[in-house]
Amino acid sequence: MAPQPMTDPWTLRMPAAMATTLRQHLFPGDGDEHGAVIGASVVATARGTRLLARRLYLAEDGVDYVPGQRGYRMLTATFVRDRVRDCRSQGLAYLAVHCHGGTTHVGFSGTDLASHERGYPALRDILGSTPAGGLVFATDAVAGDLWLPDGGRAELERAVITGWPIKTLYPEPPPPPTSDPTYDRQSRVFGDRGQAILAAQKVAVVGAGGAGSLIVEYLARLGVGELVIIDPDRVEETNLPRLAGARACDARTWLTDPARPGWLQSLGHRYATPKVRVARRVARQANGRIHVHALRADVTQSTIAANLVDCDYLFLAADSMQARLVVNALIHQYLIPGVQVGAKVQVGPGGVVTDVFSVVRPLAPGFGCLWCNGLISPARLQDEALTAEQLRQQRYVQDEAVHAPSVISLNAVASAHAVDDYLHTVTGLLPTGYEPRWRRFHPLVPTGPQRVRCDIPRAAADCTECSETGRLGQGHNAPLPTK
Amino acid sequence: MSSTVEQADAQTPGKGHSVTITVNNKAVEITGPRVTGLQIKEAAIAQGVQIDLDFQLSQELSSGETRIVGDADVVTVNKNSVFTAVAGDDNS
Repeated sequence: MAPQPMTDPWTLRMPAAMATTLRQHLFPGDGDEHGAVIGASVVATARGTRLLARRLYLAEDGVDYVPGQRGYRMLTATFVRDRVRDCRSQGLAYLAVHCHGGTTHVGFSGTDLASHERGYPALRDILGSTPAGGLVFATDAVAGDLWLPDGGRAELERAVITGWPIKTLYPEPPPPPTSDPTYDRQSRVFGDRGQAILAAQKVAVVGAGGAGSLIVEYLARLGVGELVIIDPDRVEETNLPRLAGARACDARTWLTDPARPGWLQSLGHRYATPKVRVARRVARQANGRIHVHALRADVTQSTIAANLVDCDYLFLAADSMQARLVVNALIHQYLIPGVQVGAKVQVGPGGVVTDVFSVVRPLAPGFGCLWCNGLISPARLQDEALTAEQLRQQRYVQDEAVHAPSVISLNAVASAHAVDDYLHTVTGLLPTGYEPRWRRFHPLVPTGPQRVRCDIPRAAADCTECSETGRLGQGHNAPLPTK
Repeated sequence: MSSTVEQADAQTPGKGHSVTITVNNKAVEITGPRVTGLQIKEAAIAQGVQIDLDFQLSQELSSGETRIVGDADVVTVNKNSVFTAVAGDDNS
């Protein structure tokens, strides 16, 4: 992706665990001021510039955060120097943090701004290509003053905490949005503000098959403003029973009928409708105002994955390990929450169905990593990297003509739960203390409680994908595992 | 890179040849090789580096460490000498 110029709006994204640590440091209950520095990756996109919090440096009271020379408190020059050097060496923006009283409104004082005027030009020079700036937090608000490498200056529009719920902080509450009568019934659940949040969202659906096509329809009908849909495949006749919005003509069934000559069948397969085009049609029928990017492509291609770095949420509904690897990396590296959905019918010898389940795995930056939970198989990654001919030679695969069983209702269970989680987390309806779980739905289990099984995902401290020593918050400072 | 710092004494700093050092990533020409911290900041300010005289000056050493240079400290500089100058960040 060609580098974008840094443009408005400026937003900060922070993993929930880091936000909790910062909150406990700034607001320990003593009513006093406290300080810190955030080192943030800078990701400039067509939708504005995102600061991705990667490093948090807490200033120790009385050592790094001391009585001020011109104000009430100050970060010492030594602390500032060491942190700005760290940020420079890692290619991060430098954001000095302190707190004020209050809850939903916050702003810099004259003393704060005078200190910025005095000190930040030097910090900007030291950093070179990344901004320097200051943030001031109240308990439910944040304001930011950013000094840009080109000599300009910008305000932080908002900060997004990427947990459950996804929490957005502003300098002051945004003005109330206007009501849209189309959504009267559902906005009675989450309000006009919730509806406005959905309209402003850019959401990706990776995989437009049985699960992905349903997710697209649900998101479009909810009123999500912008969708990126990615899938390389075309519609086949066997897709029709479970592909939302697909018609027989999309599969070119009159050409692909086995009674037709081979060359005609081949022509039919070649000119069948791409799945993403069906998904776009469904989305537009559901919501005439939606903006759809339908990409008939593979998310593992670097140019395609680049379309997702400015999304607000990622739905992973593709089967391949490589797609899992890339989407998992995007979630942690670019601080974008997401979810993996799937349904599986396992068949044993003689075609006997041995297990049936649907699965929903919510993923947030720094929490719920597919890699450190063993859900990305290195062996399968290796297999997928081989050509079809190499695979045949190694006899790794079964007959390609034999498809795995699949049923729309199993996909619907997973898709509906995943979209429901998304809806409740972005509109702020989740209760305080909500604990996300990975859920598997087993319809064939005879007793009730075992039909829904909840897993608490683990997080490896040194995970290359989701830890602070790994991809977390790296943004463009690290390559994605794409082709 | 030199790593010696002395207190200003009988030797008069600032007399010698012109050398270009780096302050906050900006090239600063100064008469060296022996200069005081205050002279470095004065030269940097005169050449457009956006700092004040009361900023904390530090020399960045090749070891990766930094050393604070006081106004009266004398440091031997060459073309590889790199300094940072920052202020404390006052909050209301």
